[in-house]
Amino acid sequence: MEKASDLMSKLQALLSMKAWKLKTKQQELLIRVSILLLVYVLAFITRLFSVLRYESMIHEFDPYFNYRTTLYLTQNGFYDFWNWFDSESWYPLGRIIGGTLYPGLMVTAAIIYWTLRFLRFAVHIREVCVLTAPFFASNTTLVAYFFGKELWDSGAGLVAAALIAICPGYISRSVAGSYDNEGVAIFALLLTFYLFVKAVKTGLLAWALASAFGYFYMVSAWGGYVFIINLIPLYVLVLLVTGRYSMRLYVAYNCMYILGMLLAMQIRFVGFQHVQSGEHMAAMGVFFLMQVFYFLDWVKHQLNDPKLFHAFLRITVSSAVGLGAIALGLGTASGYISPWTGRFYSLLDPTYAKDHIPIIASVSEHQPTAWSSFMFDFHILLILFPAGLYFCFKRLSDATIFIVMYGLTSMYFAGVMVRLILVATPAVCLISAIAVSATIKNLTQLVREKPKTTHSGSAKGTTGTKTSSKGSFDQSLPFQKNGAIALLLGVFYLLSRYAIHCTWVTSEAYSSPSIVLAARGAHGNRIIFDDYREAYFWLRQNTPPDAKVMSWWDYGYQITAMGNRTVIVDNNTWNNTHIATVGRAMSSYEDEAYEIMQSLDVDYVLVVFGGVTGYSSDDINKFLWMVRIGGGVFPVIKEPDYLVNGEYRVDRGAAPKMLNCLMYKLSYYRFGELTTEFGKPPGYDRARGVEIGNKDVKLEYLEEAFTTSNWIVRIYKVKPPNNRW
Amino acid sequence: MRNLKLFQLSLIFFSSIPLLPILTLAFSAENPTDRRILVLLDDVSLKSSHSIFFSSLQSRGFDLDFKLADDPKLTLQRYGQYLYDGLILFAPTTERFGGSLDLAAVLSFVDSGHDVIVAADSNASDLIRNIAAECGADFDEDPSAVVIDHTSYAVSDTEGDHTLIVSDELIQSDVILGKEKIEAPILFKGIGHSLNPENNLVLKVLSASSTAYSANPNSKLSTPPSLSGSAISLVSVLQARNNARVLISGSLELFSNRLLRAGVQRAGHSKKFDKSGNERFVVEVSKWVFHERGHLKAVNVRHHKVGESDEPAIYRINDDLEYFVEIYEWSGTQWEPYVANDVQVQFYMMSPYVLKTLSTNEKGLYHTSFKVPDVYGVFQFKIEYQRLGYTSLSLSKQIPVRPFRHNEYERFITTAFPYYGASFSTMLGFFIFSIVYLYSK
Repeated sequence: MEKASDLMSKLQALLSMKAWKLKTKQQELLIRVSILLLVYVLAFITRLFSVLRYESMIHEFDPYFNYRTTLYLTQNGFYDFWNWFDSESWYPLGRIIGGTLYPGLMVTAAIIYWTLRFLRFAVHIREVCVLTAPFFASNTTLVAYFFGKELWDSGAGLVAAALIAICPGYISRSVAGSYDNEGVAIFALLLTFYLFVKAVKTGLLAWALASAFGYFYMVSAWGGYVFIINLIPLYVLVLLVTGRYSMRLYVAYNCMYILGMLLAMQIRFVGFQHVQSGEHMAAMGVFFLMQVFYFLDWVKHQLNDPKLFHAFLRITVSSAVGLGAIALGLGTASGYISPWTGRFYSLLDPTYAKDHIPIIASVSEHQPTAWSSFMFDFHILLILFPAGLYFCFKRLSDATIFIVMYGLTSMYFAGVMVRLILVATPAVCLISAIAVSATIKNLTQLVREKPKTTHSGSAKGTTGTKTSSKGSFDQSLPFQKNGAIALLLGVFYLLSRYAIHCTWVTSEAYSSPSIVLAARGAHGNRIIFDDYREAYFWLRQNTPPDAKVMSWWDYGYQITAMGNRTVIVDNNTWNNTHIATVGRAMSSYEDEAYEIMQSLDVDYVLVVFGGVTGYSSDDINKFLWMVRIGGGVFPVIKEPDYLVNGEYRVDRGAAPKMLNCLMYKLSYYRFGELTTEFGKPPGYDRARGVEIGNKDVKLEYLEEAFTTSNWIVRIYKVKPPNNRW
Repeated sequence: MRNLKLFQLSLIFFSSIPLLPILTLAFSAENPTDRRILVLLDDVSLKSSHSIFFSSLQSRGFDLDFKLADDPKLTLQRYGQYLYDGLILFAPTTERFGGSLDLAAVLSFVDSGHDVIVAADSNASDLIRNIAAECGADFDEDPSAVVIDHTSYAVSDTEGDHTLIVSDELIQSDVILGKEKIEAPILFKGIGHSLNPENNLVLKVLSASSTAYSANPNSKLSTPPSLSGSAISLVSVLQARNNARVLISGSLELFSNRLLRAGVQRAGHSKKFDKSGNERFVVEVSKWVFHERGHLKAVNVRHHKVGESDEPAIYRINDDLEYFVEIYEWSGTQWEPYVANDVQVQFYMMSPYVLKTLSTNEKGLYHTSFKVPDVYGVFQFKIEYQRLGYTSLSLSKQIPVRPFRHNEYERFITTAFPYYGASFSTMLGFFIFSIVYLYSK
């Protein structure tokens, strides 16, 4: 007993000693770990606004498809998921789901779900899906920390982690409920880049292998992997051109490319694209160039004769380039190498989609970015970004070259498409973090060294570098301590504004599920419009199980996931003709549309209408895209027929075809009787602010089946053919 | 008390159960011949003047309920249930029916699958004209016009205005008119109608000869008649999409005892028939209208893979499958096998991918087998069988067709052996190279 108590007291003494007398390094570690932990938690909880405001639900459009497939995966197992042929969408064509999706997200969520189940946490798969994106956002902060540490120092890493944790550009796609590919893909993207930079820095096979696996995960999760497979070769090329070629680079790139390519081929949707598609050819070209470089190096070493080598170099390089060009030309001409896809083209030439592929241009997230959304999504990072670039250029290394290239290319892409702000966010956060960290470090050093510099003249206590840099400051700035303090305060002010801005944006703009709409009432109270779910549950409860629902493709995923009914087209826009057929039906007269609907066995037609609530992203506002997409395949549909002097209107001055097309009739059926706003005539469309032009809508081939309480979703039943005619 | 009441209620309920078979004996999918028929008359005397037609119906088992057309208690349905399976409108001059019966009620009676015989006459009311028009038959607008034929009239001692015409231009259909040919010509005295060209369900059963025209016999013809020649239909039938059948006749007298019994001699012909074809005609047509004939049903649609017996929920591309369907014809009393060699099945996805004629075992079972096309999607087995006089068969059964599973492809293909050889030799070579490189000095 005595011994035991003795031991205990000794132990206690030891503990207290350890606890209270930490060395500076340990203290720093403790602080760093706790900051990281807090950031980790912060990244998670800041994304929970949507759950608190609304409920634990899946948001928007694509997430519903992801949720449905995840549900299928957890219920039927991986092989059924892999082989899944879905007959409920794209009626009557069907869709091979297993072969046309990126399974990374679903598999990730399913693994989390199975793990929790194994640990006896009885969670529902929906909760897992809702929280997957915040969870991965938290993980991204860790990667950002390590990346920042690799690029600059651990201080920059911590700042980067903190910045990315709350950056609105990233939050917009990763709030709870936003169960989309991007949620895990940004994590995978940053992880791949980090591991590759690490591999280049160390030249170790292990890191290159890890980065290949990171790339594999990215490929399995998101089509944005094309960015990686083009950025990394570009980076390698830049290193080669700037004379930074090294054995480390050779090992890192070759290993990463070959293994990454082989692994990526295992994803069915990607398949042989790495060797067959034009978008992936840059990586292959750089791979061969790398071999030529290595070979030349070896020859140079063997020859030991500059003159001979130069002759050899000329022959080899020109023949290699020639061979490559011939191979590419032959491959493209024979059709073995597919040309660039429309999406890729529209990235390089922002006007391409608008002229050639209306279906890409019609998606709001594919629009060019407005400058205000840059400010909205990045806030002070937009100013810090150039500063960070300055610091990067000041301390050029393989790693900083990479982040500079990542930052600049992704900034360009972010300018082309709104949704690619997401890709730029990690780079912007990292580069800004470098700026913040470097500035604060310099300033704090100034503040803390002030007493030292007073007696540094007499004693050379500080290191050489410090004195040299501080010495120059000393001479130029007389009030440098005060100035430094002021600047520090300014930085903290900026950062705190950033935090406030991010929280405000998250809570106000990015936490809306878009399937449940909220508005402020006349007395400032919150009004919830839950019309979408009302309509989908009506479909689920009141229509025959094999009923086919025609709607514009935006709502396809939601109808199949929530209404459990077959749809004609959905958000996976793989068949342009089929979508154009629906667009044609919507923009035709009722009798023509009836024939199209008969040929597609349509039982119900669903339209979204915002005229009563003032909800502006409804089908009437999307209608011109239906006309354009329909007209792209069926030239009988002509856009000018729906416009008056190039102007799109629904009031009395609208084009006659507009006033009598199916979409107009379905949207405004019985609307002419309704008074929507006090002091306005009946049939006043609040979304467009006009009195509608055709108040007496009569339907011949369809009948109203259901209209939700706020008229947002209207469902019509297609009548059977006339019995006696 | 409560319990007692409940007991009484249940007593009533259970005692009514034995009644159910009797109720179901009426018109149904299983027993498509009509049973209860409401006959609406202008005048009670019609009951005796058309007694041959009515007694023919009664002798075939129909339960006729005679009412005056302006009976104030007239109704076709009660509590959402139709009280009758068929309706005979022998009330050409009635402007308004009594009770709840009106144009819309008659049309919805047809649209819910019930049969109607409408007879008009000269001075037909707008109501009757509208019923006919809704069924695709437009009577001559002129209210006093009747069908006149100066070459093909019945020789008669009393009538000289050639309005009692003779026609034998019948539709060529054994199903509508019975297998036995009607030899004697048919006497007709009434108004003509034309068929609405937009309606492709209505058929001429009895048409006028090419010399007939529609005009007022008492006035001089000043303008060309609006209806003339064989475009004039005297009797038409409509088979609606829900297989309800409607007979429209321009003459009420067509059904009368007088014309049924009358002998007939066509002007310019020497042959004199002792009895007109009217009786045969109205009896056979009424058999068709009231579903004693020409009613088909298709049951037991089955399909499965060759060599299996269970119906799969989904097929794979290139599967071999067998398709069965049983088709029966109603003979008036029972279902008999329907024998035909032109029944076709489509394997359909927006357009037919496979179109096969079914072979029959002459006992009602039709069968075929084919290979699923090399296209995946949601297909339908479709039978669209529409033959003159028969009820239309329109079956569709949805079945998805999936592509191969990942493990349904061949694992090793002979043509790929060079590639297998290449990869394995590379692996071996690399292994040997590593050993040599690592362990040689």
